[in-house]
Amino acid sequence: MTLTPTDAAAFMAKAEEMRRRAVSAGDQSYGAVIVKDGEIVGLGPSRVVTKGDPTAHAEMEAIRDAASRLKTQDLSGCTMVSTSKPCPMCETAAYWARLGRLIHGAGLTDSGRPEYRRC
Amino acid sequence: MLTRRLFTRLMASLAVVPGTAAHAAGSLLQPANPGPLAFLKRAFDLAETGSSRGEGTPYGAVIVKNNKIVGEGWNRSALKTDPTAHGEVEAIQDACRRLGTRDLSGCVIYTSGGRPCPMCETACHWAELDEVVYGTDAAKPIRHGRPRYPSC
Repeated sequence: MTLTPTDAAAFMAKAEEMRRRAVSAGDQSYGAVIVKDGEIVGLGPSRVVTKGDPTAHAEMEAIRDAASRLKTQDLSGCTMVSTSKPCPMCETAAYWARLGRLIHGAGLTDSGRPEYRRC
Repeated sequence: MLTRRLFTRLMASLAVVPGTAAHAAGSLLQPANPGPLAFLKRAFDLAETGSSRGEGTPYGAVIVKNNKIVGEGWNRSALKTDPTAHGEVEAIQDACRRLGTRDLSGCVIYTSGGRPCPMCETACHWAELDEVVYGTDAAKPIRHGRPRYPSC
């Protein structure tokens, strides 16, 4: 499951689109997408404000969307591309969903596999 | 099919307006003798109910404000096909809907099992909960204090 820099940039553009969608809905400025085999399988604009749900971060919404569409809680083999570095809630959610890789930010930072961290 | 799914999701989101009576499904069972033991016991009961129905793993949680349960949840990850649907997340979402706010300051979460996972503890932080109480033994509530945001 390799993602070329060109592919990663294209998926980041989609995550940016989700971020803009969130902002235009009056929500927090974050977006995320989940990619499997070169295709987007989950979309996540932040819906914290619109849903009145403090857990509805963009990454959480993208994971929920991908699990729902793929009809499985196991998202191994998938990559999450998000506009900002995932918070510990979102990174742990990615860990539970068994996501293979996280890419964040305009610099396309690759932080690899999500971890379960207590500190 | 995708369009239909999106349409269904959209309709669901329209039907669910935070803070409205229609959104808060059913009344919450209040313990006869409210207190930490009774609240933790309720969390354990919810865990048992959910898992016996096959809705997810056996974890439950309640959110308490002014000695009254204002939200409840149990793991529904299997039912919803949602790896984020842990008991604590479900309880936070339920309390936010019922109270019509995503600021749960002044509230305490009681959760069955060990210390909440970092997803749930950070969710408690974002929801501004005052305190986390957990227990692997329903008779022994452990006061964890304010939810901690992992700083690594």
